[in-house]
Amino acid sequence: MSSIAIWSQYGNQSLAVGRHVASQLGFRLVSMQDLVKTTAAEFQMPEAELAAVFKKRSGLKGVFAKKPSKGLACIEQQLCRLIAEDRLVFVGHVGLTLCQMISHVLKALVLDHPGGGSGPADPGVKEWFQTAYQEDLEDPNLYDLTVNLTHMDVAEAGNIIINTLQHHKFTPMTYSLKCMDNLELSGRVKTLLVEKYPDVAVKAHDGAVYVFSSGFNRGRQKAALQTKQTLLGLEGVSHVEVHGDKKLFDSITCGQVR
Amino acid sequence: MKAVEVLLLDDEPIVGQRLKSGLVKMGCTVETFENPVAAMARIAQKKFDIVITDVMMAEANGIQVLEAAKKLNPEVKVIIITGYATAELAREAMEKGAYDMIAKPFKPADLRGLVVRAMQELGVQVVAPTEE
Repeated sequence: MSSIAIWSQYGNQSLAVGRHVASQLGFRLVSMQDLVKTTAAEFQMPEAELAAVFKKRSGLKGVFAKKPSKGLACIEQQLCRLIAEDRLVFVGHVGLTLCQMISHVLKALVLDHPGGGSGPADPGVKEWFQTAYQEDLEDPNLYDLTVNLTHMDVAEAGNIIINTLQHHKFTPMTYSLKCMDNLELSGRVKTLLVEKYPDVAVKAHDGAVYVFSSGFNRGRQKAALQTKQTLLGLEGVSHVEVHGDKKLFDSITCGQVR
Repeated sequence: MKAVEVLLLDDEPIVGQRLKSGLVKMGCTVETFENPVAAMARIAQKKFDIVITDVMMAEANGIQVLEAAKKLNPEVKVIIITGYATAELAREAMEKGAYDMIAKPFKPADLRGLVVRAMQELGVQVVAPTEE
């Protein structure tokens, strides 16, 4: 079955839309709060540490951390697992790259007028999104569908999302299901390496794992070999290539990386 | 029992050669093509149950083959195989009526699994595919 991801900086109203969609379709609803909670349980990390991923850092003029953190990698990994279970409505603002690669996930943006029923937007969400994904959260080009609560109520917005999901193009297929498996594996690898190699990029395909980090540059073969050995011990990994040359890595992976 | 008629189109001859034998063992009658124009001409002449097509080919692409096949026979199961798989292509293929899509490189057993599913939906008794 397909899944739905709803992004918005209007937390309460987008959650209300998600709740309507989930109840009508009999899908599981997962909010950002739920996602953080289940990630904490799955990875045995403190919830506060994971929630801190979305908070501005004090003492640095209020900017978000630019380096990819283990916390975010774990949260996205958990979202990937939840989507793999399918029949999911996720409401939040993470996992953009992940959801863009899976054709059976419908991506919807919920907008509202700042003075509308949602109350004021959370500007932190938009800023965080920009820092994390270098994209504007409210750029309609990122989504399959944009619904504006200035012009409709929650139920109407939800029904539009439900009707859109009926399109045949959101049907899961072998390719998109394999994409999910590959993303799950690359997420597992990234979660393992991101603390030691913050610029790590990973692609997985049918058990083959391709890893890049500048930490594996020439002269650091020992680190590359150790990483290769570690990854070969992971479940579902049959082949590992570790690269310190970004150009070569990009040519192998055609840009489809996490 | 009527054999399942399969048309297999890929501009790389090795793909057709590798996949054909496994499909024949499953009880399919397979015609292979390397030229999409010739394949579409054959589709216009003969009713196939399953069409397996590559996408990126010189004279016509697999989506054109899909559209032509579905126009002539809406019941046909069209399986897209491609080395240039993206979410956008997957959605376009499904929207235009593809049965399934699989990214290259794939194991021949993966494709045979798809064909088995398609055959079952066509109501055909299937010879279980063997592992390679």
